Amino acid sequence: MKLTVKTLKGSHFEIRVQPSDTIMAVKKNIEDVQGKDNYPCGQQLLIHNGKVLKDETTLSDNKVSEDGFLVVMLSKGKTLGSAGISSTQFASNPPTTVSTPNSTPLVQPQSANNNASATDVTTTNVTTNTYGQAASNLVAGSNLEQTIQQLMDMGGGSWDRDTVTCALRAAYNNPERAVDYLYSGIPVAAEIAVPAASYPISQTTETGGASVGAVPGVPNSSPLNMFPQETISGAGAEIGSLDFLRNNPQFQALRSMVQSNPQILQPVLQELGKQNPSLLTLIQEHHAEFLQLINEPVEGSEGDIFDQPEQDMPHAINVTPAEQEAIGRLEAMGFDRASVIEAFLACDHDEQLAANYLLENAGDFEG
Amino acid sequence: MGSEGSSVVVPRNFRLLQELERGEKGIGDGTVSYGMDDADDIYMQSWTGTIIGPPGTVHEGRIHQLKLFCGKDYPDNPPSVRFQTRINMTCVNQETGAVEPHLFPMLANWKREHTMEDVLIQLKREMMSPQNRKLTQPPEGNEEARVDQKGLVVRCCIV
Repeated sequence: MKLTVKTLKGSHFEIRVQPSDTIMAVKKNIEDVQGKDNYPCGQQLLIHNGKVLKDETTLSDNKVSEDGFLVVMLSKGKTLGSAGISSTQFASNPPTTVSTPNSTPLVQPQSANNNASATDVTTTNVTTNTYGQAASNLVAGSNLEQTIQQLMDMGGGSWDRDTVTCALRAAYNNPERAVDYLYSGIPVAAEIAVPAASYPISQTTETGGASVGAVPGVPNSSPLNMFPQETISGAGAEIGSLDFLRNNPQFQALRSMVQSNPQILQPVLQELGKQNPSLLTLIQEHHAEFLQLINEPVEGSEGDIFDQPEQDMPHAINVTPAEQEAIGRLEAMGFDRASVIEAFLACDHDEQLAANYLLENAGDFEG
Repeated sequence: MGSEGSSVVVPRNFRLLQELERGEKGIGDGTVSYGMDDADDIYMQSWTGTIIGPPGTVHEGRIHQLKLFCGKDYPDNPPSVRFQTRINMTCVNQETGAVEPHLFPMLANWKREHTMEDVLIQLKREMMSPQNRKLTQPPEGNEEARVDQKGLVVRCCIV
């Protein structure tokens, strides 16, 4: 549209503009038409219908219509130019402020999702882990080899085969206990089992049989050897046999798993029946007493020991070298490995989300 | 005498529409201009005016914005006039910027035929009068500061 521009000197001229043009654009238009010496855009003041127009508004905002007219004059110095710049800076503040509230709601849903996801993952891990533990409790042959490989992968190369094998032997081939030994060292009591492992099977059996009184104090190096001795003890005293089960570390692990997931009891008993029918018969004869033993509360410290390895086991299966590096970086931030792995999996292997999750829930982990 | 008796009284709205049209057409030298504050105001009460300081006076190079309020009794009674920018004049209240009727003859001796444009033109003449042309004026920076403050307040409210 055309606009008539009047000057204080009495002259006037026309310019072509669009209703959506800003006042600053109009000033530049006037500068182009009249020359920079006469009307520099930084010093122009435009007046329409008694209002001084502001640079950041548009012609339509000021209701300048077709065949309207503007009055142009020059201000002294560069004062208005500076004010214009200042106005621009003010104008840029609101968008920044507005964007901040937007980001806050986004964070909250993410956090909620992370918590829900973590819960789901934890539940899934417990279920998967418990079933896996049932099978791996009776690790032998190729299963033992797989377990050794998994533990070596979990260590990321810091645990060699001999160390892993030694820990498994000390833990009666119980993988979760072996992980605990690998992290914190093999206890002195379990060390005794190492030389025992080198005995011939027949000699071990004879030794066990010869010294009935020493049976509770001497842990066996293989689950297969535990059951014959238990049979002998069972023949001697029925109540003593179940008491022996109470003190058995493997039984404590079994109890911990059964209490966290009661459905696992029947498959475990079936597996037990295959390995040692006489023990299963003994348990069936004293069904009530066995259930009582199963339902006794797990000791706090041992519960903690077993819970942590249980969560670690399935994670080792999923971790790739790249993810291993990410987990290492997250551990370097000061969080313990179990929490890091949990957060990493809960956030779908996204390192940044996992770091955010860990930082937001740092209090929970410390507690 | 005969013509006086036959004069026609123009209703308020028609009068204001005439002034609005004149303001939009920009008849005149451009040193004074005016328009409605709000185009949707059906009573056309609130107006904005601008006076460009006349050359050869301390007001040269300044743009003074004013508010004019035409009540329901306009044009039988004069409008209220108030400067929005700071100005030092004999007929202007220093604190509020209001033009004092008892010090400004056009408002004191109001005639129906006077228009808002006439008021603005007369104020400009007053700026050129001997007692006002050399009066020390408040620094122009205050004007910018006041405008900025208004803008800031508005933005804060929006946020």
